[in-house]
Amino acid sequence: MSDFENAVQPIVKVDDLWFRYEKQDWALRGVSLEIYPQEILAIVGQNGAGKTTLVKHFNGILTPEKGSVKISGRESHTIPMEEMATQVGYCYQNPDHQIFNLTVRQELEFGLRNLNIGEDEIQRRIARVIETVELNGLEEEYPFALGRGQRQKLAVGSILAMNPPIIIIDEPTTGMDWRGGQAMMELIQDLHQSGRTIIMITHDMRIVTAYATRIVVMAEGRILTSGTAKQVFVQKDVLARAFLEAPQINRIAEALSEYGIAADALTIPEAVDSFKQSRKKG
Amino acid sequence: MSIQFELYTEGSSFLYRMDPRVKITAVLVIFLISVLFTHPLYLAPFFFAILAIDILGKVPFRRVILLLKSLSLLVLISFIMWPLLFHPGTEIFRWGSIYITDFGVAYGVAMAFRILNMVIAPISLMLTTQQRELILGLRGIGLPTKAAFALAIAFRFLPTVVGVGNGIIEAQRSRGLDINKGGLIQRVRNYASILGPLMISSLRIAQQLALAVESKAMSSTAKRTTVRTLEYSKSDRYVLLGFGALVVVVVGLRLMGYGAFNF
Repeated sequence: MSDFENAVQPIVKVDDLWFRYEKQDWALRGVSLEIYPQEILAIVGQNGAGKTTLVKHFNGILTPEKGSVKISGRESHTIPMEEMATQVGYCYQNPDHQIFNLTVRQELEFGLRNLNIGEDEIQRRIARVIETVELNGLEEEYPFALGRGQRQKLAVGSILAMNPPIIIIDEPTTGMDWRGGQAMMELIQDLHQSGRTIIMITHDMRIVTAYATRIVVMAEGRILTSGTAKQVFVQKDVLARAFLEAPQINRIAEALSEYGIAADALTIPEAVDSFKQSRKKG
Repeated sequence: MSIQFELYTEGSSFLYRMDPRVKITAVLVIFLISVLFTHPLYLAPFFFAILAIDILGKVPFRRVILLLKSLSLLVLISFIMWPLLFHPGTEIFRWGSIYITDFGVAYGVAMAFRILNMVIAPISLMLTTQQRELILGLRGIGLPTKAAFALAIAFRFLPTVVGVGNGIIEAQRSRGLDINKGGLIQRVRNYASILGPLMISSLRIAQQLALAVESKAMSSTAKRTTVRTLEYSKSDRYVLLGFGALVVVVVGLRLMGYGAFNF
């Protein structure tokens, strides 16, 4: 990883960031973080840990009180709004807060119209986005008539239309059934494979383990640790401080480790394989 | 989130302790006075009296000032538009076909104070009265429970709607719409693009609230009891008496022809 880091410039660079809402307590207390192109970064932590406040600095909605946030080397709050929309796509926690047009098509077109893009190009991009987020045939529907999962996809689609290299998704699977959540995560993986950097906030440790290339653990406005799932979920003391628990399968594996299951198994196949291995040896 | 969603602010003073019915009566009396008088010299003293009471009653003054600031445009428009359109009395200034008169100016000033009085009084009430007290008070002055609840909840949800509006502005900014960009007309159009979604969101909030309230048997026809019952204290009675006397004096003055212009 270190060779990779040396070679590539961070796409998001947060340096000693402090922030508070209206002179209240500090919501962020000296956060430093570098995010590299094509990561799937998961930010985890309790409600109120500062996750959303942190990512709202990435697209310039919030301005640092102390410290700096740079997107591709430029201070985030100095980048004009229209340009920012093409750099960082922000998908809100509740898709209903960012849906405000009367048809799916208008919703998808909204950002592009703000950017003064030609009609042909708009239609070409919309067609591609509709394909990507699988809303074919629903173009003229009223957004709030769609199901929760489809509204979430629409929200992602509406920022995708502007083709930003960085996509922030706040709680991609909350309030969705398993199938909807799965479809959402597949979409996120597709976006990642097409070269985008994904920053997601989530409470679902299963998703974190299965999809994130790196995990950042936050508590009380600070970053406690960061690393891969394997690196993070062994730090039980840090998890306890952030009121987090490793994925269920990891806790089962740990409890059954004396029967031959690897205590650090994070996924079901991993646990099963380690169990099979130990049986063969035994 | 740390946006304040309620007007009520913790505090302790005679205003906070006053019976909500008395405070509501006081606000209604100020409404009556503000509507009866049209003379600035009769309206202005009440404005300053309310300010003085707010200061003595430790109403969070920072929020009052904030409110006055946001009202300043409306007050200014009233102050400018009345003299331009209303022309009783003698002409004091002319520029082409535009002219203003002495009574017109005085009337503009009076209307500005009328707006200020009619806003600052109920806001002072809201800032110093908890929602449940307000509902009790509104019931106490004879409103049906449902109406009292609806009224209190409407005020309660004003800041919430502002919060939702901010959320929508944020979401639109994230997609490249900066509402403070462009000339005046462009900005008005930008704000219009927020009104639609804001209305839809507000209706959704209202719908959910209706369901939530209904699930707690709001429409039950049985006579409603309350945990707390209101009781006038001695000073409450004096204040009520004072406001009663004030109404008599004000109505008397108006009947004798004072407090308004005779064009």
